[in-house]
Amino acid sequence: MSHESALAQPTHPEPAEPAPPSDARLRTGTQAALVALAVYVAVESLSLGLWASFGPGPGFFPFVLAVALGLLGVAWFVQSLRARPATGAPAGERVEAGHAVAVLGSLVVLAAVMDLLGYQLSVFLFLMFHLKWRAGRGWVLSLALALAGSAGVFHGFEQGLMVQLPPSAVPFLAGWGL
Amino acid sequence: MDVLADLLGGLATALSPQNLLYAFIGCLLGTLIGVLPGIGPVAGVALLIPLTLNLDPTSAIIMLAAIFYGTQYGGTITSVLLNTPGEAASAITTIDGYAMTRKGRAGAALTIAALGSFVGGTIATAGLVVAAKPLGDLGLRIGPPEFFSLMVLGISLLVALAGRSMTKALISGVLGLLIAMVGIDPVAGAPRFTFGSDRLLDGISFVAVIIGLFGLSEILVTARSRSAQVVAPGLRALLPGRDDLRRSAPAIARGTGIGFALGLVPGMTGSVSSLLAYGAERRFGRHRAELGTGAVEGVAGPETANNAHANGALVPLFTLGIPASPTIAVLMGAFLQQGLTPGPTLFAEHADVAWGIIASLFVGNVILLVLNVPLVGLWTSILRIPYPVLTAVILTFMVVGAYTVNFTVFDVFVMVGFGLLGLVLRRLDIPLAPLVLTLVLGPLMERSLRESLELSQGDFTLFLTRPICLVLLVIALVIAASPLLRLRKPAALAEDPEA
Repeated sequence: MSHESALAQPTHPEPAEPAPPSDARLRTGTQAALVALAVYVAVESLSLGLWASFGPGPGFFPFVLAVALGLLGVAWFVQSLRARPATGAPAGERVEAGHAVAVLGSLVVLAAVMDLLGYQLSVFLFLMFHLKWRAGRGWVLSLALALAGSAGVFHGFEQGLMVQLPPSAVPFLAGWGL
Repeated sequence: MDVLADLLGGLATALSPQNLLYAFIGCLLGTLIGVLPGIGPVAGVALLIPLTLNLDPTSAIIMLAAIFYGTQYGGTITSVLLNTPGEAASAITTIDGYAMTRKGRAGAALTIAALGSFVGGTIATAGLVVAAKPLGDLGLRIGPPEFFSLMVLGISLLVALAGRSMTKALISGVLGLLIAMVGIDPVAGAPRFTFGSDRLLDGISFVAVIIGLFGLSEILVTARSRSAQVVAPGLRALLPGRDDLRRSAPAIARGTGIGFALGLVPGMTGSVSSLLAYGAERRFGRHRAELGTGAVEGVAGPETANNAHANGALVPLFTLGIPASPTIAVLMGAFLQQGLTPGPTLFAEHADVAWGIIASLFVGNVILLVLNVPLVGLWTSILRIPYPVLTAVILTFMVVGAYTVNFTVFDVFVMVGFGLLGLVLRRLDIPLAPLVLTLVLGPLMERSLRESLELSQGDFTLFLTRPICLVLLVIALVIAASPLLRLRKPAALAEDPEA
């Protein structure tokens, strides 16, 4: 793209493709969530106090932000209502749902068990899930990488950087150096 | 002469074996991040902050700065060899860089890019040296009201230039400010929005938020299954010919000027600099007719501009404490975590640290030049690793990065939560850059606003009676109203994931 053509485009270019209906639901849900968040912050800010004897109180700045967020949420809602139905709002980046769920789900499970099982065992299982089951790699490569990412990183951080990653809270596992 | 003495003192610090090692590691890691798909410079720098927490402040920032400018060069390698930019600022390089690869001239393209990056980065750092003292002195004379107005201007520039919609950019900015409000109030000491949890008293972990928003959400939206087919050029092929050097020189000069000038403007990203540098070659280059077919100027100009931009963007950070881009905002977060406040007071209170870091930029540019050309083979071999394997490894390091800031699993949950938020924001086309900037500036902005209002005993007209405040706020207002005035902005910013 040339310099001239780059500068010649309007500030709000037409979207290349219309947003699917699921996007409209996500958009409306987000707009409602923003307004709800604004109301919560405003109420909380009022209880913190907007003004103190020495000047603005702890709730002053958040209250101003809450009002701004509420107004912006409403403005966005109005803008999306006024957008032409043929084009809708600009579609953002596409997401493969299965991939996103697998990554997020595995991370939540990892975080939930890390203190209990310890870094080494939980990350070993996490890496095996991604390398062997999701990526379909061979056993040797999966085991080697999972060991490097779990035990290797654990001891590397402990010895090299003096940083302690969590050991297992289960005495039996802790006794095994996990 | 004072500046020269300060710089020489800084060079002594930067050239100590320890700091040289950290600059070397930083350049290596930065290039790796630039090469890897699915992890941009913003998340990359945030991810590596925990590695520097046990270092002394100078070494920590030297390493993080090296990571930052290392990413700029790493992105070039994939642009030239794969026709896929590793980061947004190298996108324009794909046109002539990949065309050179198809002609069997990948080595010359990579070497010219490294040479241009070195020249652009070094000259921009010299500009930082010249500007640091006078701008820093000016900064020392401004009070809380001017500082608040300056931050409003910086944020309004970034918001106006980010994404396609001003409303969405403002929502992103306000969300960042609200996240920054969580924790103990800096003036009165009252807990705010902590839901009664002790874990939130110190606020939400900045590193976990950035890793989640930028790194994890990028992985969530990218589900690639195949690895790249890429061949590394031989060492002999890396040497550019005399004609390449002669033709590149004017492009490098133009790229340096454009990159450095735009680097000073908050909100302008490296992508705009490289795009404009390419535009300049189309208009002024002697061989402009060859652009698009593998002309060396099409690599030299943009690559020089994006590195000059990266170093030029450090000027507002060092002198005024204003981050000009999301990556610089993350770097500023690292300064704050080390107990250093970038801005005019940095030169007054920690002159040795400030000049040590500035001098290390010169050293880092030399390291990048020496390091990257012979290591092209290594970087290309990394590109052959299947993406799902890379994803698994990157996710592990994200978990470690989020955990090790406060040594709590709670921060891993924070990272996952913000990864999901980042996914939603990307899906809705809400830009992430304003959120990062306001997240870092939020506490400073609130403090300066409250100090200003305490000075004026609650009188808001204070901002209208001080000339500097008035000028800064009027400019910010004009920028904020730019959609109403139908002012145009470069399309590259609307498409830039960093914007």
